[in-house]
Amino acid sequence: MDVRSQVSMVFHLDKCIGCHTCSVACKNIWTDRKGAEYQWWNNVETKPGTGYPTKWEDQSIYKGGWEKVGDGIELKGAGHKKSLANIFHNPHLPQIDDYYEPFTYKYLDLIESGPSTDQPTARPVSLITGQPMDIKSGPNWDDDLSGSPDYARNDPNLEAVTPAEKEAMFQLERMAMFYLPRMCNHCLNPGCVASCPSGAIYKRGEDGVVLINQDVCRGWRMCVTACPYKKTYYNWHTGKSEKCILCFPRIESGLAPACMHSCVGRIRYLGVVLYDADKIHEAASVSDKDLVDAHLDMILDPFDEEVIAAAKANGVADSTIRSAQLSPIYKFTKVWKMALPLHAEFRTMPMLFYVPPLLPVMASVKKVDNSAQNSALNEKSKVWPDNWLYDTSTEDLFGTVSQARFPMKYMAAMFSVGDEGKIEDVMKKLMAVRIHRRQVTVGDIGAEKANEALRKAGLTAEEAESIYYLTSLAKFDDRFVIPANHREQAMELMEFAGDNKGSVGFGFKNDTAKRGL
Amino acid sequence: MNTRKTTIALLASSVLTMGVGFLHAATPVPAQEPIEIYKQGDPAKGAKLFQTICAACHTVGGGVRVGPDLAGVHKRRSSEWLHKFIPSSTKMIASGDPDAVAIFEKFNKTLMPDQVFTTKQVDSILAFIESRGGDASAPKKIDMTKPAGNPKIGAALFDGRRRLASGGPACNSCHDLNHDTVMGGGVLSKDLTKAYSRLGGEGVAAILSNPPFPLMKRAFQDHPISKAEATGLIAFLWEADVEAPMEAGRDYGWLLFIRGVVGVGIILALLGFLWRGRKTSLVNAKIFERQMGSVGVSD
Repeated sequence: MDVRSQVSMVFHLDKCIGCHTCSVACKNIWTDRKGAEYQWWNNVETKPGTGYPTKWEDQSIYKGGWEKVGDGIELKGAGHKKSLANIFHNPHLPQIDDYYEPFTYKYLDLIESGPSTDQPTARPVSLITGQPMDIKSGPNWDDDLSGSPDYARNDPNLEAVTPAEKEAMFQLERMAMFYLPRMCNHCLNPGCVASCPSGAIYKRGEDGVVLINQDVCRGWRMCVTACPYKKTYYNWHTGKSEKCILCFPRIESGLAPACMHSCVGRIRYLGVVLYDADKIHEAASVSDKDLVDAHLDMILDPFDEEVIAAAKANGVADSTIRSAQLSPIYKFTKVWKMALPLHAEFRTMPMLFYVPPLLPVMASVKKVDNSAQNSALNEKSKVWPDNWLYDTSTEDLFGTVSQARFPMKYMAAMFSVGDEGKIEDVMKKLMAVRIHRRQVTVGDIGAEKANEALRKAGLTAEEAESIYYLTSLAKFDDRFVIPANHREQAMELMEFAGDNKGSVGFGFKNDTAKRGL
Repeated sequence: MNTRKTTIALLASSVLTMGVGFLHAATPVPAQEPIEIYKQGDPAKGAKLFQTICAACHTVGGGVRVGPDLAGVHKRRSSEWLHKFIPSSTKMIASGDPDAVAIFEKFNKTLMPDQVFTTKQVDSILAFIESRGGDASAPKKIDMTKPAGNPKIGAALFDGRRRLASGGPACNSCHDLNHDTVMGGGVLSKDLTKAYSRLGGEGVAAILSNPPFPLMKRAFQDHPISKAEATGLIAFLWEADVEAPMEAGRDYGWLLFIRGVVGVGIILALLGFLWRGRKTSLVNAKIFERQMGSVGVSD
């Protein structure tokens, strides 16, 4: 057993309001530079939708991730032979227009234009060429456009559903959408690391953050192809690739990453988990249907004496183990089994998990008699003399789950490699917690019915309360359990810290990246 | 470094020559006294000058080499004409002197390099020619028997695989030659494939020991070709000359062009086949097309 610690994340999609604050926080800190304008290390997509870059999930286009070959796995679009054959022309890269051409506006024209019969306008200019341009696309051009023929209907996940189900999804009465915030998953089996011909990408030993060494990167761009989530980006100005660094300078200081810190819906959770690195290859090579289970099985119980002993033997600090025991990630993924990896079939073992969303419940319009209500209103009140009710209640406990707006198959294509049962289990848990809390706060359901719901979802009342707490009431320190960084120990792997004793500061400072090798 | 210096020196000297030529053209030449000037010359001094400067291209009674056989030239041309022509033939040709132009045309439009001769030196040369007497003989048949020397060394020296001991530039810097032992060379100067049958062993030797052409002269002025090297080069030039009919001709005709086009086509087709699975179009293309098309915007 090779126990290591990994900074891992959970995004609770039921809480995401799609405000893009995370993306903007990230952009302002990290990618507001020449050559990085088009990069959104964090972005929020509308599902169903094509995403950013367009159709990134369709690996028949971009050839990202791993594929099962015999008993093992191979990179789909990179790896020794493929990289060597294509090293001077990587044939599956997204083009800039597959992302979007970054732009700004000539705002100064609004102030400095001379007198004219027309209003001055701020023309859009390309951030790449500096020339005026017609804006054709943006990083979230499909935002809120469920049902649109260009975006929603081209969602690659819709291949999992039948054409009839697809049409049903986009009926006006059923129309729904949810948001999918995405960032680097800091995978356990990262395709980008495996594909890099220069060996510039590495997974940090102490916390598993995947980083690109800008001094070593030679801009071959194999990582851009190899990452199935398209979360490594090529900076055309420096000639090197870049990716999310999980705000490691912030994590090292005990702060949550900027995207998580700024999250308005508080959907993001971060904490360490202990996992067994010996199992990576085996778990990444199992058949599709076992992938999610094999993935989650790698996460170890941080309370297990054996695991703790193995972790200590491997140099994992006591504070990190303690942190793993308090980790909200461990609770969501292992204790409550509510969080699932996104597209586990890419076999990179992503360490960002999603709690799939309960979509707005379906409703029906019922004929009722509203006359008693209406007669109770005073003269000045507006009265609708109709006798219809938009009714969201169902007789069946989990009726809203089984009659969800989107077919389970669609959700399963994203979060459980096609296993609808797993999605349904999570949905039931989400629903059961709601029913339980309604019983606690409103009391109109009946204890018996509420308990039955919990029992059917496999939860106890205490568990439901903890889920409710961590979902709705959690404080900053509950959502982000960041272990001490022990940077002094990490540093000593590279240089003798005693040399700096008595002088100012640890570490080293590099200038910002310049183009060149 | 050395080659670079030489190149700069060559450029500088050509500019200088042009400048001097321009000055000459600007200052009127004082009229010469019509006297038997060459009588005042010293044939011994003239012989020495002739050997070092003129012999590379001219003989006295030995037949045409690069330029005409000079035996009896003092009888064919006036003294005044010779005194103008010998130091500065280029100027005379440029000024359109009919005799000068005729000679220029007759000898393959090869200019005789201008020389800085004093009147006295010209006298001496003419005195030497007179002392030899005789008349211009018919062009002598070039002796094509195998000269001494190792053609392999010559070939190596020609294309620079072996450096000239004095550090001078390799022949193929300026000269081309069609022989399978060497790769081709520059096109700045004459193709040397048939040089031996044109000049003969002696002619080649004379040019190598004392190049009469301004650029070549400057290039080898400080880097003379040794005797042994010259022997090798002469042997190689002979070999290249006699073997020329056996060499495959260099065909730069349409066939080469067509082969090139076909070759490029085959390579492109192969690349297209190997990379047939590549991403060729924008994933967004259809969306852009529909959206931009629908509002009549075009870029």
